[in-house]
Amino acid sequence: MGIGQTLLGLLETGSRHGYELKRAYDERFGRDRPLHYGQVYATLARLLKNGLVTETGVEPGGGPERKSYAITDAGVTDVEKWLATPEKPEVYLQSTLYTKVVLALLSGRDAASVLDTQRTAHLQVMRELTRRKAAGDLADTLICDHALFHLEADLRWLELTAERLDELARQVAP
Amino acid sequence: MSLLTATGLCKSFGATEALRGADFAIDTGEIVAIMGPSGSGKSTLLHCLAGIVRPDQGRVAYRERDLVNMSDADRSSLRRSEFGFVFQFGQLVPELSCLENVALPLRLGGMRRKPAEAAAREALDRFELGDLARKRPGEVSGGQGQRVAIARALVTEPKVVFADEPTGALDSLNGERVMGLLLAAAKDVGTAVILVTHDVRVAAYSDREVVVRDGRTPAQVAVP
Amino acid sequence: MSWLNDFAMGFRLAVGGSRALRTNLPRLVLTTVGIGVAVAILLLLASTVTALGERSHRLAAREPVVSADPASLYATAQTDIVGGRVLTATSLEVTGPRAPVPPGLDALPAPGQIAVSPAFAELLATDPLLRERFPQHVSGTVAAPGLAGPDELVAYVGTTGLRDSHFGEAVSGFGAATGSDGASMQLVFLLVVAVAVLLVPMLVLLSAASRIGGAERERRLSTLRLAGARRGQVHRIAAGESLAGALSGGVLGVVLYLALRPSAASLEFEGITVFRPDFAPGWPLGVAVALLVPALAVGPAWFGLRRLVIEPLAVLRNADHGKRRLWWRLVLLALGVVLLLPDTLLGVASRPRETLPFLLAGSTLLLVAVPAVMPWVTELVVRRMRGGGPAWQLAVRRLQLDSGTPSRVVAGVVVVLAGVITLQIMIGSVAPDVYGDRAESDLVNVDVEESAEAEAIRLLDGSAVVEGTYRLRWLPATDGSGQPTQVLVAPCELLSRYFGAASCSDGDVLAVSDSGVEPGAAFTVEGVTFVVPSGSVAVAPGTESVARGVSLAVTPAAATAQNLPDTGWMLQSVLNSGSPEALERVRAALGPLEWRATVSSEAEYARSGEDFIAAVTRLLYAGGLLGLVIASVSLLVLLAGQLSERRQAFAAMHASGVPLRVLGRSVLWQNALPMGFGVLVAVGVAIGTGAMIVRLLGPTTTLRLDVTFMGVVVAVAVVLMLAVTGAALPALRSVTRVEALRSE
Repeated sequence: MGIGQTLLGLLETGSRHGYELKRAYDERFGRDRPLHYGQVYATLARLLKNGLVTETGVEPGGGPERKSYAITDAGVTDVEKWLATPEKPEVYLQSTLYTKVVLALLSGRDAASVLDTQRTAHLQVMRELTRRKAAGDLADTLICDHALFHLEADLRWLELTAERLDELARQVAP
Repeated sequence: MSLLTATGLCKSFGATEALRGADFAIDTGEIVAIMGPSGSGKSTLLHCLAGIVRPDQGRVAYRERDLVNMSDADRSSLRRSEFGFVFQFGQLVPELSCLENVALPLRLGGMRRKPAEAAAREALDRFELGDLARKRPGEVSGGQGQRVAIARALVTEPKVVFADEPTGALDSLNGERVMGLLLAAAKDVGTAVILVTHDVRVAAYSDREVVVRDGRTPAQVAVP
Repeated sequence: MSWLNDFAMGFRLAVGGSRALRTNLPRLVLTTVGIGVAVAILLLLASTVTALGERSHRLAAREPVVSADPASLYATAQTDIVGGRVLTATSLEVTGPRAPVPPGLDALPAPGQIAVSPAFAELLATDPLLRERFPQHVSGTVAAPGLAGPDELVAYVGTTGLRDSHFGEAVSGFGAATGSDGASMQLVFLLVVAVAVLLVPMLVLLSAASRIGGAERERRLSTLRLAGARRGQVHRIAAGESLAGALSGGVLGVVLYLALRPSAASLEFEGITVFRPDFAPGWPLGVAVALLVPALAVGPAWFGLRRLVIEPLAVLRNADHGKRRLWWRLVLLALGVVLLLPDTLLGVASRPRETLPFLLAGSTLLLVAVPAVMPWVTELVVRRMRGGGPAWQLAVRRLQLDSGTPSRVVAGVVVVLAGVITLQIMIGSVAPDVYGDRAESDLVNVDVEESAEAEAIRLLDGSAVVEGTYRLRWLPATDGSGQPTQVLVAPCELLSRYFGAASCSDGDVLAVSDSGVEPGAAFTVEGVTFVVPSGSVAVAPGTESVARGVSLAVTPAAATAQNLPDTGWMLQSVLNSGSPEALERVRAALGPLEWRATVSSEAEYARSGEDFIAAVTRLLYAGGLLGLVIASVSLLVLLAGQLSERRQAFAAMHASGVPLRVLGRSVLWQNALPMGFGVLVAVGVAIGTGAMIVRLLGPTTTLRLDVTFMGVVVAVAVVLMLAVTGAALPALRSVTRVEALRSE
């Protein structure tokens, strides 16, 4: 994940201290996987070296976390370019779910029960996400929606696959 | 104690067998989703549970009362006071204003016009639909219409709300609003909701789901 | 109380809101018009029946009560037709004290005086011939109580000599409790049948109207059921919806009635007129009609609903009505036929009184059978159709799918057609028999008292219009085999007119050819035997009423030769013209003889009969046109509704490239085909019904078909139909705009 570009994006709205940056990142993007301070400073150092950020001030008694950073023009350009470039659609061809399901179906196990079992599991997670959405703020909503849609996509693929196999089975052994 | 239970429901329409032995149970305040592929009999199951359609075989008991053999007058009375309905479309009377539509179940039950419309206005305000009161269903958007339908379903503070694809004709955002509203209002009053849907994200609003396949339901799914 | 609530809700649903009004307006308008016209017709009928009843009372009130001699008053009445109007002149002779006075008179006229009705007085003032005939001094007026109608020509003439003549009857009072007046009985009869025939189209229209917007209404009602309305509640609400139409229809009906009342009250029919104040429905009938109105509005709606069980899910399920069931239509037809043949099939006596209810029921059933049979006929024929251009194909396929709706659309027009044609057949066949249909004749009969005969002949000879006056005898006889027949004794001048005998001389005997009279046959005439001499001439049967039924005609010399009795004298005069004026002149000439001589002619009855038929046919044209216009307007509205219901289908077709004119033509064909079958069925049923009704009305009545009338009426219906479809086409244009494709 482009942590560098994310931090740059966060800096675009205004200069921040190191610890502020980490907090901002965690709040919005790091719910399940917060950043280590080490990662933050390493990334900031790299950005500094590439001239995308500058140090704007040091607090007395400050280590790296106390330094405040601001974005440069070059940084702004970089962020713009990154935001304007569409993300390459990720094709999840290596997911475990996919592998498991295909194997189960191709080996002749009942498509309906595979579907139902998976659906139940998915729905449990989706319920959790829905509850979180109801209780949270906009950021929560966005993230939960994202997850929900992906989960839904899994299930829809599953339904279609099951139907395809059923039809195939009917043709082969009427 | 189950609020509404059904066992062994069978129903055929002419040559088509819609239900072949479906079971169902729901407790007070529970939210249950009925899912399944199209043509599986979900809607028929819902209709049987609500007493709108009489099954060929099987029992439906609402609060210990036998719904199948109940007289039409009693069933109508239930529909007025203890059941609420939210369907995909076609449930509001186009000639009446939104306010009158919401007041309809109360009026049909014999309430006089003034108190019925006062209660209806309160319901509309609760759902932030106050300025739609004088408009007709044809003059409001789909999402607003569905919310009016929910207001009508809940105005009598029913024990069970039956919803059949309530967001089917709505876009995602409106659908979300409608579902949130429905469930929040139901939780407020302690209403149970039986929700037929093929949309998993809508089913995610329920407490548990029942899958209907080829007119049958599996053994109840254990809630973890 | 909650029932009232339900009706109110239904009412509200029917008239609420702008959008609702747009879809409901057609139905509302149709129901209003249908009920309005039906109510107006019913009120007019009720008024007519009441007025005729009053008329009967008046006629009965002036009927003299005949008693035994001696009496204080002697009377004799003469009735004839003057200028197409019936004239009743009663001669009165006062012979004692406390003589009864006829109603409407203040005092009995003395000899040489005459009391006249206002209409008579008016005629006296303008017609010199009438004045000549009635030269008496006008001493008083016959007021309303003594008249059957305001325009009646009634006179009471004071005279002498009645007591001693066998013409005069002893009268002890006025007001015989006789049964109904025969003429108006037949009139009521015709009227009630006419009303039934006109009301049925209205009912059909109403039921068609109640079906407009049916799909939407069903959806609305099932929504109400979902919200918890009971079955009965929903029916009441639906009834409330129709109440709106009932109310406006009732108002329209009363307004129509009041507007038509003056003209209707002053109509003359068969010489019958009524007093305007009498022309009112009367309380019981008025209330009955007022109750009928909601029934008429609500009835079809209710009836339509009963077949339909409104369930909360009616909208989700499309019940298809399966194959059209034929059997009940045939039953309807069969029942109607059976009811119209009560004398042969049900053993009912064939008197008008007995057969009236059967007639009504049977003709109503047959007329209802028209819209019932039509969809089936259409379906039957259409099922086999193939080929044709795209417009035709579209229309035929649509009809094959559902011929009910277009047939319904056309039903109103077709039923009016059937009704009007049936009426025309009925009246056209009956009227000539009432009056006979004879050619003009310049022969007049003079029925004269014996003592005045010589004077009569003298007066007749002195009249400018009389060419000759002859005495003739008309004697009942029996022939050789004991069969009763008639023997006529008349001079050659008359015999050659009756039988067209080329040459005739006194002493000849004429044998009527097809009555089996041979020379040598013997007839017995009042005990005297008459043998047909060998030189008798064979002739064809005579056509004058005097000569009808005569098998033997004898000249005076031949009669005297065989001593035929010298009784039964009549006078006949030959006039120089057959005009009504000539007849009046003869009557005027015989005026001085007063009641002793009565002049009559065949021609006057025939003429008034023709006038009558012409008047009624005009009335039927007008009524038929009105009915067709109403039906066409409703057709237009129904058509627009039909287009609107199928708007998505039309829009889709148009969008995928079907040109508008093809769509338009397909709609035209779609309605023209059922129309064609409908006309055929209507005319067929009308002729059949007419034939059966005519048969019931009298054994001598024969069926007469006026093809011109039928042709005109059918042509008008077809033209109206085309015009209406054409007028609806702009609606097609608006309906096929792309907006219609947007789902709600």
